[in-house]
Amino acid sequence: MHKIWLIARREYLDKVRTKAFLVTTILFPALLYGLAVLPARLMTQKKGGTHHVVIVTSKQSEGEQVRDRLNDHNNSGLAFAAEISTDTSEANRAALRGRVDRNEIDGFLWADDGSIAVDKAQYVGRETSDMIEMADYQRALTRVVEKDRLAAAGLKDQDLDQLLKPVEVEAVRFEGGKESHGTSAMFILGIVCAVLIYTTVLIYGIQVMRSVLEEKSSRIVEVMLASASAKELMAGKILGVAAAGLTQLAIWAVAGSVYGVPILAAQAGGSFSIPLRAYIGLPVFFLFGFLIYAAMYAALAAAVNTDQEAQQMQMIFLVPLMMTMALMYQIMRAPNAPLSVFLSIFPLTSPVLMYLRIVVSQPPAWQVAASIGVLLATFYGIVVVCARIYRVGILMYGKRPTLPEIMKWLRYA
Amino acid sequence: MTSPAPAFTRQPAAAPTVALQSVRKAYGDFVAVDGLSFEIPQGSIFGLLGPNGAGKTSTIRMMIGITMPDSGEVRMFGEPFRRAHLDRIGYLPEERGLYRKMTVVDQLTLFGELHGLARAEATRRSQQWCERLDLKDWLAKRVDELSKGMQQKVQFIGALLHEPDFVIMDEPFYGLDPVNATILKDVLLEQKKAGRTILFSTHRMDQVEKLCDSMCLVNHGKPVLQGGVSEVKARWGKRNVQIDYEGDASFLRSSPLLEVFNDYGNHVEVRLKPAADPQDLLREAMQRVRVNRFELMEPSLEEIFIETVGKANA
Repeated sequence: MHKIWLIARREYLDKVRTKAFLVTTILFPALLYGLAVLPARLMTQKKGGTHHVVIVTSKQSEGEQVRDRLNDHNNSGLAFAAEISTDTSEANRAALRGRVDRNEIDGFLWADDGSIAVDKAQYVGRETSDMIEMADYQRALTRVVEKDRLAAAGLKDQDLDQLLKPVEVEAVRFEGGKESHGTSAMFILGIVCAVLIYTTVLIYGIQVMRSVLEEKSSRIVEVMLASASAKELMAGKILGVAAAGLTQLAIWAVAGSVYGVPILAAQAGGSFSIPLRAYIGLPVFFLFGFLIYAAMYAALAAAVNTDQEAQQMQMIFLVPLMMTMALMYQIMRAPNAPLSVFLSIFPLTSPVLMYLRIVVSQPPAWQVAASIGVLLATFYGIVVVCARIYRVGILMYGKRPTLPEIMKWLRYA
Repeated sequence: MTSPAPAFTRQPAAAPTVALQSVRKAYGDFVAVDGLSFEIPQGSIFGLLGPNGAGKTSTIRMMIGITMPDSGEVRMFGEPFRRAHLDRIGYLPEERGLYRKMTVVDQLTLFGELHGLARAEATRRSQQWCERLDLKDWLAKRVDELSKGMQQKVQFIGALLHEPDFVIMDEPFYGLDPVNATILKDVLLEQKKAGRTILFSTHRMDQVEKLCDSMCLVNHGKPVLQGGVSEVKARWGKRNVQIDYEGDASFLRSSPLLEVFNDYGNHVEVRLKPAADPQDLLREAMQRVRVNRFELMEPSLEEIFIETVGKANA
């Protein structure tokens, strides 16, 4: 045990004292912020500025109402300098296209009676990618048409705005007898937590690989083996790197609860607190994920001789881990679907996905227990196999072993 | 500077430090070590010789428990090998390696701690050794700032820091300049004087000849020559002859007595066939040329090595 501790301490200091550790500790949260919060921010941010558009309707009054509605009730934050045109001829349409082309206007909204009769108007412009702006046209035109139709059905004009007032539905989570607001904040927290586990397992797994390769190529492994066994060496190395990973996670968890919570609270439109289970799950699922992947990385690095060889081979077991990032959104939308349940118990994806489910929903206790049980069993099995490959591999130089050769290593005494 | 270990840790003189008994190790179909037995008496220097791939490193790895023999036994300090013995063994592998980003003092302290020294003691001894081997100014430097020779010295210190009773040195002088090689050689001889047992693994026969008390030459995993160095040479017999002469010595070229013949004009070096009598050669030479000097030489270990291994591998 003492030797494992000595080796782990060396490994820990070796990892924590680097500039890379400092840089990732600071930069990674910034990156996460960019990944999880900024897109949402940018999407909802008011743009400002003036858009020059032409509104084409069969009746002048209709066009004016659309223009006023656009300017009074919009989410894009734009000012609409709108010309009204009642010329619904094809010639005018062609002329407007020309004006768009010559940059004289940003676009035109074509909503003549013919279009409205088939419930389809058109906005033609140079840029149509701003979903929020498009939704503004949609809402303004819909409101005006609805009012026209209701008036035609005999309702008095002045009451209509009141009658058509939309009702907002607020998302409230209810669990453990408590209500909490802010679904989008929960969503963001889920992404952040999943990405955290994924990234740390990956980064620190690769650290183990690098470290084994370095010991092998610098031949120090032979010196170390004269005082410690291969098992002690591998265990010490993995534990030391795990401790470095936990240190970084702890820093991020503290920073997250201090600086992250206000951001999430703003997103939730009120108060927000990170649930305790997110804090507890972080080290638990990091450790499981890391230990399993680190053991595989150690065995892989021991079996090969160069970084390039290792890079190529690691894809075999990295695919499931990378899959977790692709499936993250689906899991959050349907955390209790059969696929979600399966992937959160399957040991190569569960460290990320079970943790994600635990953060965003409350999976049944048996599923959490099954996930941890399977992880424990996998960890044991993988360590037994990988330790054997590692023990033989670290002293093998020269050509890369074939799979049958590696199988033979497993049987060496 | 190094105080000898307390007397009670020493084995009685009768027990050899290391005893290998019919040790065999195979990797798949390849037999790396095949029935090797030898003993290394306490306080002696032992040479483990052999060409590349003869099984030297495999043998050493079994002595320090990196691998286990398939059959046979490794006995250490009079008992079957246990991992606890590692605290009393120092190992300098042929493939040198240090943690490149660690400082010299941290590195040496770690080696000491791994061999059971307390942290403070390991650091203190590292400083003393570095002072002695001219590395004092480099204690706080990272290993990758050191020259190859200096790294070698650090590694050498690492193997001796915990004052092991048994020191294994695989090509210890390889790549060292003559000054440093002499310094390290003196350290090793001093270790021997302090009662420590040393195993040398090397190709350099001249070093074995000068330093070792006994030796074992292995080839293809099997021992082919072993015993005391002088005993091995005596057993080989004095078959080398140098003759200084005047006249024409070309008749020797076809002499049935000789195995090897080298003519340098007025000096020849020849080797007699195993059964040949040097007196016959002298008689024959005196009839044909004027002999100024006729000397029977002991063979060098290098010759014995080349002869033995060369024949076996031919």
